[in-house]
Amino acid sequence: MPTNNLADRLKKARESAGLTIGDAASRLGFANYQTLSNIEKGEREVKASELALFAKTYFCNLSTLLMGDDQPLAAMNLLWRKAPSGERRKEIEAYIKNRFEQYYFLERLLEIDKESNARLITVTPADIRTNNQIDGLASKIGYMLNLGSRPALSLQKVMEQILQIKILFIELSDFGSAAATVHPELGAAIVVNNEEAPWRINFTLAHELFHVITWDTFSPAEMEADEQLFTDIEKKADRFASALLLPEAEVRQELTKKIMEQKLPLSDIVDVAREFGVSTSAILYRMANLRLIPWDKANELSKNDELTMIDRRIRKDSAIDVPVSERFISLSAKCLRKGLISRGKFAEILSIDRADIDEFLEYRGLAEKEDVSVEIVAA
Amino acid sequence: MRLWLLDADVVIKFLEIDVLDKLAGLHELHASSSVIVEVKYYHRDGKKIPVNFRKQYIDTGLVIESTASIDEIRDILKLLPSLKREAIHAGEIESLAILVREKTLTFCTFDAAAIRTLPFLSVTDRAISAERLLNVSGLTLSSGNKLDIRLSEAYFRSNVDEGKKDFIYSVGKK
Repeated sequence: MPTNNLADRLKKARESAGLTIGDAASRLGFANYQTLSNIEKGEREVKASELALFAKTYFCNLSTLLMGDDQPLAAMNLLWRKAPSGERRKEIEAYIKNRFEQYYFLERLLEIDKESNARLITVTPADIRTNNQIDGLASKIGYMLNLGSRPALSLQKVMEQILQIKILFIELSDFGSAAATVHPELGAAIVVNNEEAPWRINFTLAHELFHVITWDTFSPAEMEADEQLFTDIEKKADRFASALLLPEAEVRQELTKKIMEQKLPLSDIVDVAREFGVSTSAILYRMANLRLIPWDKANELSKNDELTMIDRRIRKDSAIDVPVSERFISLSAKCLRKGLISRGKFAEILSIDRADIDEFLEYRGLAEKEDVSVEIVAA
Repeated sequence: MRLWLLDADVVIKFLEIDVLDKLAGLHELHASSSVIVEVKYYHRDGKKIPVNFRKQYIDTGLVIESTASIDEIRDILKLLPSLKREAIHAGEIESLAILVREKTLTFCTFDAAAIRTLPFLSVTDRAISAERLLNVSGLTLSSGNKLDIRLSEAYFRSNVDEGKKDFIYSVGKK
């Protein structure tokens, strides 16, 4: 229902963000919910200085609050691996939608909002019925994207830069896991919990890539309604991720010597997993897939305390920085450099304080100003 | 001069290069409520220095606070093309709204995107670069402080020109 005044729009925006009036009042810094209630009834005027906070709290922009949405976007269907429950889902999805729109906004400013290349191949259900077919699809995608012998090392960059998939690193805590979506206007996006370890993120990216590629093959609504179908597709996505990140020939080559000796020390398993940028469990199950070890052994080892300890010891320094989308940061910096967004907007988009903008840019090696251009000679 | 500090960056930069208090002694300084809220600290000599702007500058009368109404902000948004509307932070929009209302204010900004909106609001003639402001105020930077290129008159002028082009090209598109 279209709303005509600010009070109505604020109420609608709060509800879309999945916030109760009490929660919202507290986040907005009002002493009690009555103030917000009065604002929503049109009995108390909103101060201009409060508008930015409303927009931030309700995950929307100023012009939507003040002027309404003249061209509302189509709804966003997120396919969650494990969806957050209840109102929390609404809030998380509203936040994700806002980040997705900001990402798209930067692309529009830079005029790179062409149709996403994400669905580079047409896949029918018959094409991925068996594990061999899924392995074949993974191998084909790995080849098409030129992922090389250690796909995890370049996967994120290739997904962002070549496929233009928007990767949104979001703190999901225990409220949900990863998700994927393909939107008719905004393109494809993958949501990743930024608290995950790098090797788990690699697997998540590959898993969600499968969903993006097969977005038109299986209806997300159907999958959400049919638990059996969902479980089946999730298994296919895991198989795809495993085959994509751990190409058979490369894994065999890496393990050949050990196979000849018919012995594999636990620390070597961790080393190989690290080499390929995956978890120890992922390499164990891939070895079982490739019939290098029995499934029972893979299961047993994945729960082995000694292996877990070795894994932790070897990887203890691997996950220090919170993962970020370099492309999102780079697009934001480019927009700032070209005078397409203000410094205030830049700080808002990247959730940093204005006083830290220069330091942030310097730390990441990004200049704020356009420098000297180089003349390109056309061949 | 009745001087309008358009955005929090101007305030932060003037604090960093230690000219804000001097400017307050020479001119009547104004800032919007949104800007006041946004200034929390600045960096000087590698140190992060917290600032309670309201207490130190508003309550003491060194800077005068102004507020825009919601209708004034909405009117500003209507004057801007949709992409520009979203490209400017809410605090800067409030500042621009007050600027349009208060015809006797001269304002200073070095934000490229904000400068480029000025032709859309017909307020370009009242804008001044930080470099020019410091010159007309007779202020020089202390040794070791080099004027950031963003504060220069040349940077300001080039962005005004870009804004004029944006405005001309947008006229036929509305």
